[in-house]
Amino acid sequence: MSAAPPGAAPEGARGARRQRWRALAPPVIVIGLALAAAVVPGWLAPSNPLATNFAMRLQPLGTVAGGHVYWLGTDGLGRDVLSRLIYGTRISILTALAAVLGAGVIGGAMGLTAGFFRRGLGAAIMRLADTMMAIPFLLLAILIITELGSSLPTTIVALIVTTWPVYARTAYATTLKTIQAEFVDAARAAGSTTARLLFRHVLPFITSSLLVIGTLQVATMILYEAGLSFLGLGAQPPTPSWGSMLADGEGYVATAWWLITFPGLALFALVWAVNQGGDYLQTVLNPRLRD
Amino acid sequence: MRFVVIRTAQAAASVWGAVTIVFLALHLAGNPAAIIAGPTATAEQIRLIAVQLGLDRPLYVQYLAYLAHLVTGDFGFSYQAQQPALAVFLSRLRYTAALASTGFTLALVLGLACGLLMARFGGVVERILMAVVSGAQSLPSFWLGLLLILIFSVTLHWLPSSGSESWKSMILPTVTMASFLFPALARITRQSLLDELPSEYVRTARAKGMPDGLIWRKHLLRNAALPIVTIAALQLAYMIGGAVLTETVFAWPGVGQLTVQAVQQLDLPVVETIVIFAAVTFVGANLLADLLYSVLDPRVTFR
Repeated sequence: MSAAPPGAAPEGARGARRQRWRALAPPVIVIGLALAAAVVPGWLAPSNPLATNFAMRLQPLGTVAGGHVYWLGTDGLGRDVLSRLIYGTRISILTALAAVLGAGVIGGAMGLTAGFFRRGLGAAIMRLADTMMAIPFLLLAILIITELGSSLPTTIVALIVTTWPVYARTAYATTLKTIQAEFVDAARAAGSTTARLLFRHVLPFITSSLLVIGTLQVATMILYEAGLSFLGLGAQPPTPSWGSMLADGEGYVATAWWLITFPGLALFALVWAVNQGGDYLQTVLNPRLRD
Repeated sequence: MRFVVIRTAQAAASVWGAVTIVFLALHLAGNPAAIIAGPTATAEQIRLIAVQLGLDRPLYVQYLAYLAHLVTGDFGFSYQAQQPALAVFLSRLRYTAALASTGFTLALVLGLACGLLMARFGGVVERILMAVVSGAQSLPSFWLGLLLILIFSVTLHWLPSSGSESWKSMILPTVTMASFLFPALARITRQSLLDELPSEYVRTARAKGMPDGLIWRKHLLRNAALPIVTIAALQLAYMIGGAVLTETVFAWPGVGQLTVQAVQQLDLPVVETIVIFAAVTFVGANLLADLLYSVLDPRVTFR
């Protein structure tokens, strides 16, 4: 950790590096913890997240019973809140990454195609993207989930279907800008095939802008997943998900404050950390934005 | 003039597209007749209801009939409430519009103030406010709603946690709404002010001895307004979607709540009415932003 007194003006490259580290350390720590919880929840969770115990319903923080410490208390079915929180991380991260990857690849391909073949097919794709954006996100998501039944894969499909236009628009704009560049003309003149032109010369330029959007979208997707589970449209019980934990806790808001406090805190911390990471990535990949 | 016509035609096409997509999705989602008939109904009862509602006709016939009615201003009859879909929608819109206007106003005031302070003073002020803005941006609005209920309703007993009877019950939902709207406004205000700062007109004004405060008020704010207006218009358009979770947390009887109910009951006329309204707002807000552009910046003209 940095030893510089707060407010001290950083001097030279070392100071700048130190300041950057100080700003980046908290998000990096939060993301590291979340990844650990997502990959090996069994090592971190003190007990089984699904084990109910009616004798231990709604116990407050730090309750000790039967050789067990319930650090964050228990819920309405006597389940350990900390363990559920840790297992819930996996749902959050898995859903968000799958949604961003799916929507990014589909939207990116759509935008690239639309930018390259501007008439006909391209125009049709972009009109579809614009139209999709005019439909309220939650309405479309709820409709898709009603159609396919609530489950985790369905939530991911709903998120992909509703968010691909975001990537398509970015990819489209970047492609339009890139294909006007001289090196593309040169490659075309040198006899590049259309496929080679797209994949070797244009794609590398749109990936960096898609990467920034994608990182920031991970945060948004975590929020959307939690919102859908909160409405009962995400992972189904008893699977622990932060959104459904908040929905369960809503009924006990007058008696057990910890049930709505900690899942929300975890959600907030992770979303904040990912957003900070996205902002950082943006300044690294897009030097024009640097102050 | 030609530009306005093209833009309006495009806007109409977007609304029509949205109606079509949702129409198809609703019909793929299941049989509304089965939901109206209830879980104990026989196949014969379900069939009778389907015939009554015209759901037994081929899909394209239903679609064309729906569009034909729509053109004459007939939004259809809600399957669930025994009322026209438009009446159902309008009775809820009142509540969402009230919440949207207070929430958006608060967000606008907060966003502009934060953005202005960040750009004007920099340093510690900027760092602290930026932390607040980034925090608010990452705050799940429905969680904030729950926390506000926990603090102000359950613990302090100051404000009601739900309902829509008095002005007091509007305070918590308004704060919740504003919390997710203001960060983007604060960021864009700061950024567009900072973008304008190195301009020549600022240097000229400074050189002729204009006081700093006056430069900010008379020149910078006006020139930085364009991007702010765009973001504000977009946010207004997203309001209906954003209202769903806030309205659920506070049991606010607005369009957001209606959306969840209507979709789950496959109440096609009501869902389509919501979609039409949302799409018109979205497209209209974008159009409005374009028009405001030319008012605020005479260099932008309609081609």
